[in-house]
Amino acid sequence: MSSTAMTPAPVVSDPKPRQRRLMKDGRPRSMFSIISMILLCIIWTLPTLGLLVTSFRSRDDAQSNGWWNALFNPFGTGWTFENYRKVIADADLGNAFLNGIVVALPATILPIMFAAFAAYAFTFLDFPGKDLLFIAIVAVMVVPIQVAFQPMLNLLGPNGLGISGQYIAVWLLHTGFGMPLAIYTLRNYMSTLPYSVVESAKIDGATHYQIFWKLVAPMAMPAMAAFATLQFLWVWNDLLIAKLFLNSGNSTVIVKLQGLLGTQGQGQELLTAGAFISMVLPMIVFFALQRFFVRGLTSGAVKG
Amino acid sequence: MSTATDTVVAPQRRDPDDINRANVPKIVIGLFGLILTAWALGNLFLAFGYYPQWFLDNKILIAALALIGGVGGAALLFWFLNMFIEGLPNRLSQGIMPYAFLLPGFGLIALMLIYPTIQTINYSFANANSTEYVGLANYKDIFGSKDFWNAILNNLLWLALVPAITVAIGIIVAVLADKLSAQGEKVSKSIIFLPMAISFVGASAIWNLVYAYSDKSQSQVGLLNAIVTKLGMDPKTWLQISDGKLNSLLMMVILIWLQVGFSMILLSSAIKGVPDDTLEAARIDGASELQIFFKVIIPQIRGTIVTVFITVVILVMKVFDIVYVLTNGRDNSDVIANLFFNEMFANSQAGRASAIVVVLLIAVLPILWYQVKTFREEQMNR
Amino acid sequence: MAQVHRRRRLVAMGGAILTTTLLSACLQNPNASDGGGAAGLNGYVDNTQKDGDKVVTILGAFGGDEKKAFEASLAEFEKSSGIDIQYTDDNNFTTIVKTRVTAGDAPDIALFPQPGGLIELAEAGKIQPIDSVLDYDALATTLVPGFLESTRYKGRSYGAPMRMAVKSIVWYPKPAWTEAGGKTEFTSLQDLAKNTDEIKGKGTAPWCMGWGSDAATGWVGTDWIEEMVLRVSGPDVYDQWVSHKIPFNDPQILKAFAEFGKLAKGDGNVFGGAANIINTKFGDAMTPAFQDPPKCYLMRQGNFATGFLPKDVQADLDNKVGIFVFPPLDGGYGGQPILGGGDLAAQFNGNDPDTIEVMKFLTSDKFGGPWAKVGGWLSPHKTFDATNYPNELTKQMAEIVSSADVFRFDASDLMPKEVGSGTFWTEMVKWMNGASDEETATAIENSWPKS
Repeated sequence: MSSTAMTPAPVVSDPKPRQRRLMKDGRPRSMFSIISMILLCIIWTLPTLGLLVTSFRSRDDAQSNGWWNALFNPFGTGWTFENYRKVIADADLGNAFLNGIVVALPATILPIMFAAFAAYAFTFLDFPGKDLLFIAIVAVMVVPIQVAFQPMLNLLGPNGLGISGQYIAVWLLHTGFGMPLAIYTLRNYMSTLPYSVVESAKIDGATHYQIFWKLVAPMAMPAMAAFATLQFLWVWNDLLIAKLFLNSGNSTVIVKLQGLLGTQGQGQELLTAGAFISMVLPMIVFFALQRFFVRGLTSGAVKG
Repeated sequence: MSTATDTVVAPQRRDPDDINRANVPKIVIGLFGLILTAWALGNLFLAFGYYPQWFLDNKILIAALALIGGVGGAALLFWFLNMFIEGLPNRLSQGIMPYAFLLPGFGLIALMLIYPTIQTINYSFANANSTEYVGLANYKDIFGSKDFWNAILNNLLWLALVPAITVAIGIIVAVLADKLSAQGEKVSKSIIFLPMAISFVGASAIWNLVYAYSDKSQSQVGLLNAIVTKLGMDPKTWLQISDGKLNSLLMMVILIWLQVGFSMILLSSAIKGVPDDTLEAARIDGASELQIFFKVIIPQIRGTIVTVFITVVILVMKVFDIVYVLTNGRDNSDVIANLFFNEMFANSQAGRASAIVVVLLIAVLPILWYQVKTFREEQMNR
Repeated sequence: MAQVHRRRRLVAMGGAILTTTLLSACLQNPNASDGGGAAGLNGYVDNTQKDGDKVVTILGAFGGDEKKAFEASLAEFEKSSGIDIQYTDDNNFTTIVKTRVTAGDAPDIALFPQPGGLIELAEAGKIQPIDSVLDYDALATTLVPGFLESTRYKGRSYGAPMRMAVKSIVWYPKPAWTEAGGKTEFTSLQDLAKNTDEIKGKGTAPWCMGWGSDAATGWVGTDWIEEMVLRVSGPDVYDQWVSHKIPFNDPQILKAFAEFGKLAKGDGNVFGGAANIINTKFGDAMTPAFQDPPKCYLMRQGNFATGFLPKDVQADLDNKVGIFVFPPLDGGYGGQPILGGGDLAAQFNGNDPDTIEVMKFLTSDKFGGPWAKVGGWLSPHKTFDATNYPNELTKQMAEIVSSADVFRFDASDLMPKEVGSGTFWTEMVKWMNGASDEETATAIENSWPKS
């Protein structure tokens, strides 16, 4: 894979080499791969493109012909920002967007906080019952969260703590539900860190608390970022928990979106705009943290 | 690395005599701080719920305080906890420390997952309001209902197809992308990954534009029907066709579309991690590219394949939003999670709903068993 | 050894102190309190809110624009009476009101979108009967008949309407329908069928229908059956049907299915047939009626349908759309029934003079002027000043309402949830796809919860 190309340099720099085409790094160019990837990418983008185009068309237009007509005949259709304006003003999506952030940030960060300490104990400390407890973590990962709804509605509802409907209820739930995966991911990553570093710090008299904060936590950043990405996507896009545990003033974008689908039909044209708005933030978050995503998630698994 | 530890950790070796005695000030301060922090934190968070007016009803302020309070508070909590335990005599301290680190995380898991699971199993033997035990009546009800078995069948179909196809497409995309130029690879991977950021509800809205049906005298709004009519056929009501489970399959397409990115990105990095010399060796032995792929690459990325597979399986078990929004189980397309939701919230049948979840719980046991088994094996190889 | 024991005790004590402090020093939920007075104090129900403090709290289900219009309609009253009305909306109203009332945290007034939850709380003794605070007889003479009956429990009424919705309206595209030879007034369903058969003879389907509503697909079909039950057998059978005193597959109900079948399943009667009906969003149902040439003409749908007619039609409602009442059936129940809905105000604080004042105003024919001007609101009073309505169309709707012989709430809202928002919807879809009347009615009957 080194840059010592198999073919002389002039051919590579030639814009249209006649012989077998090579890429900059010297690998042969595979036309089959290029064509099939382009096809796949088109198939993958087409549905989303349809949504984007439709979100800029008026209801009457969108109803009378397919969105691709607007693309083939861009001047024949009425483009409009009306859907976006209306969905933000009437459907209260601006407020819901804010709610989504208010819900998602703590619900993403808090589980990492608690999980990191647990993962540290699982990786660097020895204690009786360690295997059993970790197996318990692995086990609860597959528990369907639906089981929790009835008991949690009772516990957090007016006859229990009375916090159902408020943000805190949802933070609590997402923190709890995210915990097993968080501990699992972080531990997998931490177990790849050099044990000797921790060992020598211990000999120097550092407490576990110090070792955790000054050594392990910074080194485990990629795993934390990877989990944060997953958890953020999950919390932001969650429908059920938000629908059941938040009152209408606090409800998130996704709940509002589902409301647009269901109500008396006035919302149909707003749905496309709303759906697009709901996608923007998770995409930004994902692309910002993409770098860590693969590293943080695979380090533990690939070895296996 | 050693320089890092030197600067970071202040050498504060304890006197050997001192090590087995309790350090009373540390215990007192630690305990007191622990209680105070827990009390303050608990009240702060409850106040978010009870008295939002204290925070001027300002969401951003509440969220910011929750973040600061949550992260800072948790750090403080652990700090006092650490201090308290360190104050204890050494032997005791060593023994307790790991559990103290585990406690908050496990407390939440116990509260949110283990307690509800037990409670749900309990409720599944009780009536619609969970006020009276009814024995096995709920199970009799659901096992006697055609809809339930239909949902089970559909769930099995989802399980059999979606994870396998997602992994397969993921591998294909990863291999193809690997052969592109660096730039092309980055762009195409991003495009394939994009749907991962889309919610199930948003995805359903998107795919509505693909599956929509209009009468044949009208111009077709749905992409699929537009193609079908261009080919000279009548438009079809895609999501209503239960022959050959077509409607279920079409909804699976949506989930696959969403998840292939995740599968591809993990598998791609695994494939890149396959050492070049093993590939070279195989090439020298005269293996074809296809043979190399199946005999050399696949065995080496088996671990990642299993991880992706299990993750998607867990996701499929819980699939709800797509079915709820698109068909709500009509035309034999129901799945367990949607059936549960309707029993629970549309019909207020807590007993029957709980029984359905218990069946789901039993259904995931094999995966659980497999997870534990691989974990055990991993530990052995360590 | 003794030392170890002491240490253990120390740890245990520390733990005990920790937990007790945590439990005892935490905030208590200010909303939690037990019981709440049930019909105590001189026969008045009471909630925990202060009486006579010039503040009245109202809980309802509607938010957004409707909330704004509601508040606007109260503004003048608040100014003249000095009472501050605080309205909160919750999209999960049905559950919330129940939990809040049973927890003793009832609002002063709640606006129920369906009578079911109201009756339930009346049974529990949490609601003040309206005859003790309002002039029942005066209300009965000005209200559309049927409303006060819907809130009756053991002979007393517990709620009064402050808004109504009408479903028994047939919409048609104005110039096109008359051009095609459509009439705009019908004495009976038979009369209407004769006219639509003529239109069909000219090659265009007379009816537009769309049942699509995502997870709720099928509710439009339930409305149709309800209309037919009212017309075939009348309000008494309708009430028995709703309360399950007669089974769902009673012959009288099957007659209604047959009647609707003639209309909906008749060849060429509905545009696009079953496939199109189920896959068309109910909001888009009438769009083909405004195409040139129209693909269909008539749509039976509630007064809220104005909201999703094509834009150019909405801009010129009075000239582009006409309505007539869905007529009665010859040989069935004689009178003109109206199917619909309404928001019912119920009082939880019986001895608060301010709350009584607000109740009186809310349920009178004086309430609603500003809301009527915004549109989308109809007064349940026949005596409401019709000049407040924004257009001819709405005035016509008000006329339809006031000439009605009997009004009934949407049955599917009154039936148990398993049926009303469950099997009734799904089985109607199967019926449209070809299931027989008997199959459908029996399947719904079998799903009726046994208790």
